[in-house]
Amino acid sequence: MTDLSTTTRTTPTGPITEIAGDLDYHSAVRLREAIRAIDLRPGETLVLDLRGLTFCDSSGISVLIAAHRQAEIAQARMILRSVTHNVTRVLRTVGLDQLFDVRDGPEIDAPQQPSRTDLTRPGTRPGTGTD
Amino acid sequence: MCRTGQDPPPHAHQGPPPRRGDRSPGDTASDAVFSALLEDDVEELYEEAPCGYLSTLLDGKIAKVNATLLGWLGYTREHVIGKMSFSDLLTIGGKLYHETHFAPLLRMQGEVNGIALELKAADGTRLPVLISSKVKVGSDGTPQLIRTTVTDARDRRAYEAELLRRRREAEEARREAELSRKAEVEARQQAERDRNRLQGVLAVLQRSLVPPTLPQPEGLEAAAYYHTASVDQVGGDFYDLFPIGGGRWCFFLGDVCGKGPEAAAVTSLTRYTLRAAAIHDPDPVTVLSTLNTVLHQHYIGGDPRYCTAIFGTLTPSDAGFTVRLASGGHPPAVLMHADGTAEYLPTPGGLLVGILPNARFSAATCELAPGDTVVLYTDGLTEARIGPDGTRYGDEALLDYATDLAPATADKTVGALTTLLQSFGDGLDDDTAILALGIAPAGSP
Amino acid sequence: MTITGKADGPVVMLAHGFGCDQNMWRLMVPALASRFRVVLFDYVGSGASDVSAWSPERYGSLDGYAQDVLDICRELDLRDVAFVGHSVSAMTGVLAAAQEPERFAKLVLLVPSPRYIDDGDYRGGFSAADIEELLESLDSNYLGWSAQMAPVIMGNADRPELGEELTNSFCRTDPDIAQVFARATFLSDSRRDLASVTVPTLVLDCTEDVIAPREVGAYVHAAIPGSRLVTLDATGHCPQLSAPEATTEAVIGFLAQR
Repeated sequence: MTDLSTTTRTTPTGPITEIAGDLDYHSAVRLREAIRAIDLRPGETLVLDLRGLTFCDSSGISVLIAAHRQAEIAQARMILRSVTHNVTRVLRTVGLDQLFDVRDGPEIDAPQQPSRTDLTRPGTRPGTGTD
Repeated sequence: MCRTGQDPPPHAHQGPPPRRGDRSPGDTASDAVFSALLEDDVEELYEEAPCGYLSTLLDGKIAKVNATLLGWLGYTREHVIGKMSFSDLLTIGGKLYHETHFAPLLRMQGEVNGIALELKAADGTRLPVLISSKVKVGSDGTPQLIRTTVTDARDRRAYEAELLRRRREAEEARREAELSRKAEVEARQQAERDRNRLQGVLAVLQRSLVPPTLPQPEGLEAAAYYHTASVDQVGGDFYDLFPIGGGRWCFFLGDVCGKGPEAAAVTSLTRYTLRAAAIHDPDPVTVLSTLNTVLHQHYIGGDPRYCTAIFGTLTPSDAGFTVRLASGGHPPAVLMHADGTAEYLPTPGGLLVGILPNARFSAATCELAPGDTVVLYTDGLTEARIGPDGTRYGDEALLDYATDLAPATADKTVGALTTLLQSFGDGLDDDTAILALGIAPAGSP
Repeated sequence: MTITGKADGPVVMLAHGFGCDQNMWRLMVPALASRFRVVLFDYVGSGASDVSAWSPERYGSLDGYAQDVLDICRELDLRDVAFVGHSVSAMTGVLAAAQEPERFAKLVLLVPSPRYIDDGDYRGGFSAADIEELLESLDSNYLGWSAQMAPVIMGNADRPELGEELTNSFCRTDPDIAQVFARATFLSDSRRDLASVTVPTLVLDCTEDVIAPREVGAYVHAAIPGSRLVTLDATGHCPQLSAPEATTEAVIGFLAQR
């Protein structure tokens, strides 16, 4: 079991948070607080870099959903980057691979076509990629 | 302390008393002259001694008293001699003590020393004294009278009172410490009782989230197990199995995100919504969509709550039963075949229930033949830690385990998985529900 | 508890009074032992008894002491007991005999007092203020009996101990227990219980007794149907020590009667 660690740095396009370790019922609260403390401006992109994330259970999924909502409310967007195989499988199980913008590699810090999925607006189809 | 007349007369010489033969006659003579000069009047010595003298007859009547004691008490000699008894000088408690202790002791031993009493003065004030008495015996051995010395003990009594006061304070402090210790113990016990009561309530609540006993549908075998991770928190796992008529049955199993009373409330809502929706239209996708709408509407504006769930129907078929199920973000069911193989029943694309207003759920269908068993579980099973490095049990291990186990009845499957869960020990820190549905192998009763 | 004397003789039980213990009877025991099986005891909290068995609830009233008497009777399976009670124990005997009369053959009430405080026409010998002062002085530990404890309180004896070994143990009482016993004794009113005595009873009083004056002895005699009254030619409240021969003679004389 690896203790969860988060590091957030600011870039011109928005904050990048690297999340490493196990994200479970015990550590989820800490990540939730860490993300809640991030000040997101309209148009910015919150990048959650998950290359070090070794485990994610349903509590972790809840935090990712909360982060997604937080970005929406701030009129920003959220991208999951460098998601490991294990976490991808979890995301797929719960269907969130359709909802979240999941990318590989570091080169998507400044996406040309922002992907927007509104969790609150009825009728929105979940999807990956661009609109 | 002043002594009775039996003591040697006071001697002015500071050293040991002179003994015949070890001093010169001149020394002895000058000592004697010197003391005679100082104490030449025995009567005056008796009257003015620094302690009270009192002689009483055997019945207690006062026969002789010195001026010192009369002065302390404020009585005249005429008032006392032959008229008062020793016990008349005592307080009521003193009288009682005199009767029950002092006088008997004096009778038994002929003398009593240093007894603390209080004397009543003529004006009613109390004089703390120490009393020593000795019986004067005549030449024929019969007691004649009692001689008593009375020493002023006011200072001593004040000192004793101070000691007693200090002791009482110390005892009071000790009692208070004891009380506060007791209060602490009581509070701890109360907390323990509260905790037990809460655990009792939680256990009842938890039981309400699963059927009290699992029904046994005609032609089917059903078994279930619920592992409670914490007695202090209600978990969010749930399952059910119920008939909808025409030999058809519905089942579901799921996991509400989060723990505690709020999660339990959502679990309850989820369970009853699924049952009600199934009566209306048992199609799995339709039922999950209804639940999705209910959960999403219910929590708009509040803290979003959602769950993962598999809902399915069992319809009698030629081979046995047709299973049709749909998943909303839930780990796939395991299908164990009569031929000893096992596989996941994929339900791709199903989203967490309640997260989006219009979520998509995908359905899957399979046939259950004799000897086949389908197993539903929550992620507590696959996410249990199995190594010191935090390795999780995982999907592959579960499929391998099911393959090894197959073919197996529902009972055997749940029994084996229960043993597996127990083998995880502390690695299993989440609630876990297991539901197995199967058809008895051909040829079995 | 001490059992002595003639093993197959009739049972005489000797019960000490307030602030005392069974040593009180020492001068009478030899004479009694030649004819009777003599049972001596200390009430719980007194003398050499097991203080751990004491509780302020049980011993806050005379019933608790009567219970001690009955407990001993039951434990030894005593019947036809001649009970000799000194001072407050006379009333303890009255209460015990009222509760289980079949155990008692005779009662000897030695300087009894059913009520120490004057009450209307009744002369108990003490005013309410007297008793109040007594209890207060006990509370303040100012009396002689607690002064006996003073060397203990102060950690070391700074004055000579009372000579003999007997003296050291004689009627030594824990001050806290003495307070409870004193309240039970001096605030008690057992006058109504006297009429319930059904066994032959001898009342012994003394010519001069500041604690149980002769009027009280006469009152007790009058209140117990068929009782006898003998006034001992003795002074003080402890005739068993001041006039042991006369007291023993009176007791034996009464017990010998059919």
